[in-house]
Amino acid sequence: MNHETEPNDATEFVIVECELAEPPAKVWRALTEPTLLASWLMPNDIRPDVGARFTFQAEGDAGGGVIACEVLAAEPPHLLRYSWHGADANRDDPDRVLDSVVTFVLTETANGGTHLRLVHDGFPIGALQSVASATATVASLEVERARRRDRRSPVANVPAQGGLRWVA
Amino acid sequence: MIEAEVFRALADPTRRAVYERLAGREMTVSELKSGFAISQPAISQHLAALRGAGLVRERRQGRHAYYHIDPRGLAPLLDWIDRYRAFWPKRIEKLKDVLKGMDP
Repeated sequence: MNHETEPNDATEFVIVECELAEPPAKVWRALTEPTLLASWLMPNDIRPDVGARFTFQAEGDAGGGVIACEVLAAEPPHLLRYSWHGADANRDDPDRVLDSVVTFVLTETANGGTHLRLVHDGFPIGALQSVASATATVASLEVERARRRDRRSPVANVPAQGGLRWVA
Repeated sequence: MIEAEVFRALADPTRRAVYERLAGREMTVSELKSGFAISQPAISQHLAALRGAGLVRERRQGRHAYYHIDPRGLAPLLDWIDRYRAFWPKRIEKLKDVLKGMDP
């Protein structure tokens, strides 16, 4: 995994970008056909129409329970965006403060493949960005992050802005 | 759930602004109030919510109470990000395998 250290947009915190050999139309199928989507993400009943509600059955590293989603944008084969109401948010969260948004952007590359950009953002990270914009907080956050990195296996770099950005 | 409490505490823009001001330095309620067009009781209420979520701490000295942020209070937010930071790259690797196995 490579790391990018440039500052990222204020609102985009969890970003994964990669090059895929397959064309956007094929990648689109893997994102929007329930069986194919289930084979790499989670069991689901997705329907790629704006306003359609669907669920993921979360398991393993996704936590447990149901992730409730609603399609916010669907422009085959280039843009898919849905809300992500996490399993951990079902209890105790009537005002849905834990809602977030997942966006897939597919761009055809010169060799007929796909550049995939996945962004998972939404309220919680937006708040963190806002909070981290106070310099004193950034400093303490970096200390906290360094401490946590020491405890865990390192998976990504943390740019000075407090944002997160990495490339798969 | 503590995570929801932290997010809820920061969901309010005024409360977030209070938190951001305290991130600059420790302040009393009246110092804090001078930056906002809201009453001192309202400020105190926001501080209570921030303290309840573990985001702000109080330090008493004589007759005065001073407020400062506790960066450890942001841990639930960091956990949220860490979870998905680990989650998505792994799933994208699986997506790559699925694409290779698909019909043309």
